[in-house]
Amino acid sequence: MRIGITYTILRREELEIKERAGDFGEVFMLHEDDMVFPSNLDLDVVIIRNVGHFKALYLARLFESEGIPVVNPFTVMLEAGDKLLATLRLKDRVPVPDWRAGVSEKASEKAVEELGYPVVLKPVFGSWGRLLAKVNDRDALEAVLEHRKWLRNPLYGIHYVQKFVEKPGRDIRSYVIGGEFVTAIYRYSEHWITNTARGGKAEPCYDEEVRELSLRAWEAFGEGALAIDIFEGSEGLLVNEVNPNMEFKNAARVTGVDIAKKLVEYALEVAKA
Amino acid sequence: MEKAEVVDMVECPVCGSEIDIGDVELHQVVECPVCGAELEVVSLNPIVLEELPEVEEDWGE
Repeated sequence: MRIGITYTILRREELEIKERAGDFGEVFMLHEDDMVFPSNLDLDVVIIRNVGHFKALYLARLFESEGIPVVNPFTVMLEAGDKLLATLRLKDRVPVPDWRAGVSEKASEKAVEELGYPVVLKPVFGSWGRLLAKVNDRDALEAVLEHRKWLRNPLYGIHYVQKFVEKPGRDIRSYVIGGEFVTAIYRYSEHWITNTARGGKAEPCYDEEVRELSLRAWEAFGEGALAIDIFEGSEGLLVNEVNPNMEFKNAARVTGVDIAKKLVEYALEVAKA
Repeated sequence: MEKAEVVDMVECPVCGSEIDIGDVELHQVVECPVCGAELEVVSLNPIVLEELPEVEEDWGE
């Protein structure tokens, strides 16, 4: 088996994936500086690990165009990697935070009025809680919309608004790979953004309801490896978002689950399919 | 022996400390044990470290 791993930088995750992949076949580490398409790469599968969403997205499609299967596939990257498109996939299968969307500032203001304060304005792309804005009143809303306008990125003109969910000082991150529930953690933080990349602390989460909900969220996409963010709302669990380019070092550390191995085993299944 | 030890040491570009980062690969991320900065190995021969690039807009999961 010839396994490619694309990357931007070698974090602990990429090193673990490389090591596990080495147990199953020949590994080709593909730095983004060294790949030009059309390529002459003879590979059975590629695991995409670039840090930037758009690089990962386009690499997925480039490899697929050469008949090389990838983890994650382009369509999963595209829809799971966009907060709004992911919600459209999820909303009929799992409970999600109340949301509105619009493509103009005026529509965004109307969306916020419908939901009522406080709300969270979420960029449709990006992660680690960057540029998430909790908006408590009209003044703050006007300021955030003004700032977004000056960021000069057309994607900030797509307005995705979520009703703010009061959380018990933590949220849940679960991992589903190829339809198999792998593990879950609680992420604790005093800040309303609980991402461990922003300093949140992690603990294992063993909860049957989380397992079941995570699998249903994964089924909304039907393939791939997804990290799923879940809120404990006052009326039950809510799927906040999904991540198609998962980081997992904290989850692997506190749960003892070898997530890198699960990812590689799934890539091998994809290669054989 | 002394020479090998000297070769293993590399300067942290953030705090200037001489640090031992062990066996590394090109583009590997290492943490400076002195100042905690996250550094990328940008060259192997000789080993050169640079502070990780600024987070870009679409970085993350």
